[in-house]
Amino acid sequence: MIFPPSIARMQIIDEGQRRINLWLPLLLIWPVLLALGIVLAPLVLIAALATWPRYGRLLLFGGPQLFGVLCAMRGLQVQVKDGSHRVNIYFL
Amino acid sequence: MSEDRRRILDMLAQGKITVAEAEQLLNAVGSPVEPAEAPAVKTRPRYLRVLVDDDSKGENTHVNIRVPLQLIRAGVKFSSIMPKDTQDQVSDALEKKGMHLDLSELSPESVDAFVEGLGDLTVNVDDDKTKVRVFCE
Repeated sequence: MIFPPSIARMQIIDEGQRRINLWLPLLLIWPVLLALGIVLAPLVLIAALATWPRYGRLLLFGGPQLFGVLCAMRGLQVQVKDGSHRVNIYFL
Repeated sequence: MSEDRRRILDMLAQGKITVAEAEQLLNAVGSPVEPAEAPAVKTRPRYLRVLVDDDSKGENTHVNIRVPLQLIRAGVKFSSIMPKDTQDQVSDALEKKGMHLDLSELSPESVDAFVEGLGDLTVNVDDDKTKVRVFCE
């Protein structure tokens, strides 16, 4: 079973000036989104049937596919250093 | 140790042959047969790494991106359910950026084959002031 990333870490560093180090607890967001998804599911189903097949397919299968994308983000790292500025983003 | 090598070393120990002769004989016998190495287990790559070092603007710019290959698979699967006109819009936008990619031709199966092939891929682009390296790990 693959789970979406639990923590996003963001570092913004200006050498000699400021240093921002954010730990974003994504694991607190997923239950809220899940609850929201369950509540909205009937409406999404109706909208999908009404707009089938153009957007209906996207509405019906988009949720699970998007969840797959979110799960696959675990391990994503972006590090950019430009002169004295540095930005690091990690999905853990 | 093989029987021949043991006999040569015995003769050397008994003083029947000199060190130089023993060396010649050992070379003639050849190196002992190494046990066959177990075939290397090829692990599936999990990440695509993109490293860019750019000095062209005077300031050193360094980019290090690690993308899970699973994210590429998931992205393609997601793009496959997009409406056709949206896929065309994305393809047109990519075309304007110089990338020819028809999203409607991408299927999860072809991406699996593509990702499988990525394992052996290493791209090195060296310019005077720019270095780009792409590989799987």
